[in-house]
Amino acid sequence: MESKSSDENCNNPNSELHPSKLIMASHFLRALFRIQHTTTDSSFAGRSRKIRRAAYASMAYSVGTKRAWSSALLRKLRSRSRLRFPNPRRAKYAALPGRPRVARPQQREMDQAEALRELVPGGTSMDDCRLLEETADYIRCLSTQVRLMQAIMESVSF
Amino acid sequence: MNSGSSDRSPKCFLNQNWDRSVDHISQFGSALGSFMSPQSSFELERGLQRIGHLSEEVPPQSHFMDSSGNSQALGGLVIAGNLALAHLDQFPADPGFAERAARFSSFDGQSYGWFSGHFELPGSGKPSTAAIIQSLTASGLQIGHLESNRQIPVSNEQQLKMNSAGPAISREEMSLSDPISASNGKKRKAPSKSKEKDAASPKPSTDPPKVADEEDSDTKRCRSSGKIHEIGIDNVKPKLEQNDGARSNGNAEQKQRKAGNDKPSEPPKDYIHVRARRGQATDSHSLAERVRREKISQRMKLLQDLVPGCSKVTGKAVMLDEIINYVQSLQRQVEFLSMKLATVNPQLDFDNLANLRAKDLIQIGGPVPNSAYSPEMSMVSSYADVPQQKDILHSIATNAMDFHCSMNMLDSTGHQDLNAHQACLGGFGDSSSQLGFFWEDDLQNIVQMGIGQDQEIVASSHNFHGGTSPAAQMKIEL
Repeated sequence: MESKSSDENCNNPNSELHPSKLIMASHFLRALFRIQHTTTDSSFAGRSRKIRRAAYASMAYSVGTKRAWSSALLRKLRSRSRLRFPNPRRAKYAALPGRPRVARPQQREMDQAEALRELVPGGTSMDDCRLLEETADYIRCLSTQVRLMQAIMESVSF
Repeated sequence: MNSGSSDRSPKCFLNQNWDRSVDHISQFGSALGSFMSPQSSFELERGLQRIGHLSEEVPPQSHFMDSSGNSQALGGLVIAGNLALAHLDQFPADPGFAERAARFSSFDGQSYGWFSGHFELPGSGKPSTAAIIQSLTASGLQIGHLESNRQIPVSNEQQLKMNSAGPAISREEMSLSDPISASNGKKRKAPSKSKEKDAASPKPSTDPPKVADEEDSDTKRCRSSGKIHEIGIDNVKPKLEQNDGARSNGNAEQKQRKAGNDKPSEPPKDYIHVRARRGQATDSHSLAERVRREKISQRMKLLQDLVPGCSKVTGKAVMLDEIINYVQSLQRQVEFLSMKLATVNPQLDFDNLANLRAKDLIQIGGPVPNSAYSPEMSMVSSYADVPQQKDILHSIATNAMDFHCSMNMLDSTGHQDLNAHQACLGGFGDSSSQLGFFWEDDLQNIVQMGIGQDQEIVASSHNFHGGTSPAAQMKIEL
């Protein structure tokens, strides 16, 4: 394990430094605790939604504004939280990634790059080159987040 | 070892040099192979073996070559050489080699004498691709001429080759640059063949000195014209202009020269220096396109490493599909896990969580980096000021490595007791080997299992939607 300390942040030598997994873990756990303490009586669906948002928020927060996708994600989350109280129904306009969207009337067949742009937050305003770069980082962070959540599940269910 | 003097009789030279040349062929192949990827060197070796096989038939025939056989051999060599060149990386121009190549192309009396001389290059270091192409083009022309004009005396053939080689070489040299793709290799063959046909009319001129002169200016022009299409490279030779007056063969090369002369006028800026590839357009748009495409392919390679199970996939479309699927699956997993966490959330308690914190962190696959310890501890302490927490804090501290000061990014949370904890934990530089000492045994098991866990996690993530109890499944797969 000691040998990993040198390359903990360099999952990929070609990329920039990745935020520490523990930083992401701490953010997420903090959010989890907050949710647990504040919303003890809310419905299951509401709680799961909050946890999901917390997951994306902690992920984006750990990365900071270094990457385009994290800034876009943070912006989306903040605008969503601001819009929530005035009008809850507007929330669907700023859909979080992964949320199944309302079926769009437009064409279903789209270009692959377009599909990728929709998946990666902030991808619509990027050229292909940049899109691939952001996708790589996004995949890295997402997989870290998934692993973190799995580990938490693991530890809780012991 | 040279291509020899002009007064050697062709036949005996051919015979005695053929065996030598075969050895040199293999040397050539191995030398080129050292520059090339294994596949291309293999192809070259195959081509050379073909030539070697043919050579076994030739020496018994003591006349001037069963030219069909040898033209095949040459054809094989040309093909092999083209394939080899197709994979050649950037080669610095080697003036010595250019000179040798020029000598090789001096077809004074021996059609295949250049073989032996040509294959001296193993010792010469990296040959310039220009010279290689020159010699190979010469050989290609030789083939053409051999096949078409067997009756023409050798000397006429030499001149033919020189004259036709001149424009062919010039055209190819001018569009040559260092990275050569396979498709460019094919394009290279086509122009050379077309040039052969164009210049097929025999011209009677048999002066070896004239041939020598031509070849010298050829080499100069080859060396300098090899750099024409370097955009942004500052060492474009002005020799090109000098050679302009010297050579007057063909319109093609003049057109190329004009195009080439435009290039030096392009100011070398602080851009990424791009070299035009052989046989491809060289205007700035297509070059920018190529830069962009290379960047994209570079990033696709990065993504290929990230996405599991994509090492064999080649092609942008399939790769993109895989990437999209993977991102979608990751997002679905996040959603699914958040649902599960919502169900088990009430069970989250501090003691349980703090005890298992280290397990989690190890499971995630990273070591126990320091920067996140303090925020964690601060988080834990801020939520519950229980003495147990302090014990846990100390325990975590004893296992911590050196502390960074990267808490700054977490300062926004505003934990004032952060500094206090940091102070008491600051001096601990124990290695994580002490981890086992403090924690329970099952933690060690988890550590051992968790280190190589990436694959399992991915596998389990793929099984997520299988419908079985995910928690049990994760345990099993762990």
